[in-house]
Amino acid sequence: MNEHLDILERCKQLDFEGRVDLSISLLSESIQNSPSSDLYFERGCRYEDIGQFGLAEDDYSYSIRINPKSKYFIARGLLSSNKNSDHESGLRDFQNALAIEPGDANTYVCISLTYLSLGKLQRALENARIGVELAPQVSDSHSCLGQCLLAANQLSEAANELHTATVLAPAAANSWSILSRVYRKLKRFNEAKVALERAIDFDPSISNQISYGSLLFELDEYPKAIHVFEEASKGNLTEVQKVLIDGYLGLAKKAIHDVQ
Amino acid sequence: MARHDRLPVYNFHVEELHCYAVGGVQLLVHNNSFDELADKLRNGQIKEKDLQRMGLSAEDIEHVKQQAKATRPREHDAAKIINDITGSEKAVQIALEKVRLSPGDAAALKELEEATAQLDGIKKAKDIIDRKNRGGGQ
Repeated sequence: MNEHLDILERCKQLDFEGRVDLSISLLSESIQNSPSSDLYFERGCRYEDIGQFGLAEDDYSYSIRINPKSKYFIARGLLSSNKNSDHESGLRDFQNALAIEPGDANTYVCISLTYLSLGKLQRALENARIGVELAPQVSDSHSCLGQCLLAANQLSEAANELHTATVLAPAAANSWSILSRVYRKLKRFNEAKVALERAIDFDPSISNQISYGSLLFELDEYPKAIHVFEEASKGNLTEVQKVLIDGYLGLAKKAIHDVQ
Repeated sequence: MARHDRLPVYNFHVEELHCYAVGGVQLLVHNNSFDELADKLRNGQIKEKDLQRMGLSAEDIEHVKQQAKATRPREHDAAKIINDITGSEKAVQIALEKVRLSPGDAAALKELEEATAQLDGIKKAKDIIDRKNRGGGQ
């Protein structure tokens, strides 16, 4: 890795300036002169970031072929599972990562989240619990277990795990957002609102805004809900987000009309 | 609209997803047995309106409804039921289909929101680990 430090530093500078294409060109040139697993991995990361998932997968595979490391397997597994919805391939890569680093809590979290994607709750829970046992000080492990417990409708335990996750990492927007969903199901609406506001502070994404609007709708705060949905509708929406916003806007306006 | 031609018909099984839209009019069709339909009706995954759209006769719909009532209802938790059966991505597809079939139905909308939030939570968690895994990378 040392011989590539200069190249990687220049690449990071180019990335910082938003010139990822030049960063990729520099890595390609270096790979031609002296191919290495790390250079392929670095180029794969950049291909993934610009949405060239096929090229990214090829580069992760080259890295693995030259020098198998668990982080290469995890990168390829997450690419398969999260970007290509190929969860089975993801699980195979995570198992390969575990064979190299058997005690890596992050890999168990990846396995758990992938089983959760597949709807295999029992396996998701088992792996999430191993993740927490291996790394009780890591927020991501608790957040993952909390997410699995929420899916399993074990709400009190889920709230505890997610609360721990937010204590360990107070700026973890995703943990706040999931904690808000748990509180909402427990009908602890004030806490749900506070948790979601924290999530939005760190991640004002459209998905969090939609959750906030629907929470306000559930609390019969229709004018505020309409305002939140109208603001959210100005963003770049997915098909599902558009359906949700249109649906809730219609219901909130109808509710106001019915009251009048 | 009635059509009195003789046409070939096929019996086939769509892997995993049993409910899908067909043709230009996007007719919702289903290849489940009455037992499965009754189970889904009881769990709130489909409604009577869906059975009509599937082309079931009034008699068959009544049969499915009676069967759904005959079995002791389980605790209703749409997100969990969908999760158990299908996985988070398909849960969103199914919930989206339900909203389209019943526009203005607040329960269907909430179910879609829950399914979407779950998928979003999983994807964001994986993204966080991905960024950490890259470490020295970008």
